[in-house]
Amino acid sequence: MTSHERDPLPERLRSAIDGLAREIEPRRDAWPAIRSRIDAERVVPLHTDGRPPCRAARRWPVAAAAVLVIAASTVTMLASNRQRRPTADGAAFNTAVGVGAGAARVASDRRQLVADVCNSYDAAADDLQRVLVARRARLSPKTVQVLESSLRAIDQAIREARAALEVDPASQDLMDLLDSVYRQKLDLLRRANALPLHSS
Amino acid sequence: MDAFERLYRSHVGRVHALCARLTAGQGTDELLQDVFVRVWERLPSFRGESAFSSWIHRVAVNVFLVARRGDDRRTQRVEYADDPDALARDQGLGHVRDDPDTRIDLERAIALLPTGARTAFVLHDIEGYSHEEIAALQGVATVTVRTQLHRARRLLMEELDR
Repeated sequence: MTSHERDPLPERLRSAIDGLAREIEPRRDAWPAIRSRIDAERVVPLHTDGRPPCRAARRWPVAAAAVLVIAASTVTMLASNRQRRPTADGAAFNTAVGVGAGAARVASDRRQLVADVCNSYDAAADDLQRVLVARRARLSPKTVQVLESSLRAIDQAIREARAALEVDPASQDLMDLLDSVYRQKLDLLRRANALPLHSS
Repeated sequence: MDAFERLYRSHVGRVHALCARLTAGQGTDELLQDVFVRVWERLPSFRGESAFSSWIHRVAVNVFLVARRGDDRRTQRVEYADDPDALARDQGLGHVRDDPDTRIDLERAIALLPTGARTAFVLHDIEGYSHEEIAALQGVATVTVRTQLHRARRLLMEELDR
């Protein structure tokens, strides 16, 4: 079954897409700026991420922690709201995909989808965590402390999002949130694995 | 450099259309510059296995996704574009004013989509990427792309029906 058979593009949307311009010229000619950037970067090669690694290493724990606080509190708020009432989103989703199938079937499909997403992310996170365990002894204690605290907050956010999705499996907002929190976890692990190690 | 300028002139319209839709008109000029600078850097790696236009498109999508990951890391952004008219202005829709209202309505509706849903819609429904390709490019599960696309279509239909 192709994706289009499973979730066909509405005809009205298809014809609107067909009417879109394939080419749109920029208002201002970008060439002079591009040319000067190419010339400049030939003379002064930039660092990959535009800043020295040690500076990045000092900054990341603070940024990660701030993001996680926001993510965790959002999950908690959404989870408690969802448990009180099913969403309009959920109703719309059921209407859209539930043609010819019962509500229980739709919920079951969505739960399977949630499980698939979690399994994929968990597998990726496990790989990264194995690398982290191997490097952990050579990271600074402060970094390890922040990292562990951040990972605990993320895992808690994931658990809460999954619990909320059990109650309201059709909620796209919760699904997006779960996806976002998992991506933060992978990103945090990747960045932790890229940190410079202390010499032993 | 003259040859590269000719390449730029031949492809800028399509690349700019892609950039404007992916960014919802916010930071389009910057992205366009980044794309062509990256194309210049990577020209030696172009092996002619696909059309140059396809290759340059891939580069544009990659540059956008890398920049977006950086944005995601830096801040928890409000997902909806602050100014849905920005796209229409940035794209210079004066060029297409004689076309049906639907075209502009759809452009504006695309700009209103949350970032993930917009990316999935632009790449899949406008640019013809498969779910699997989009998932691989973003490093997410295919089911995530499917749900984002479903959400995008639903929101667009709601917006067009207003």
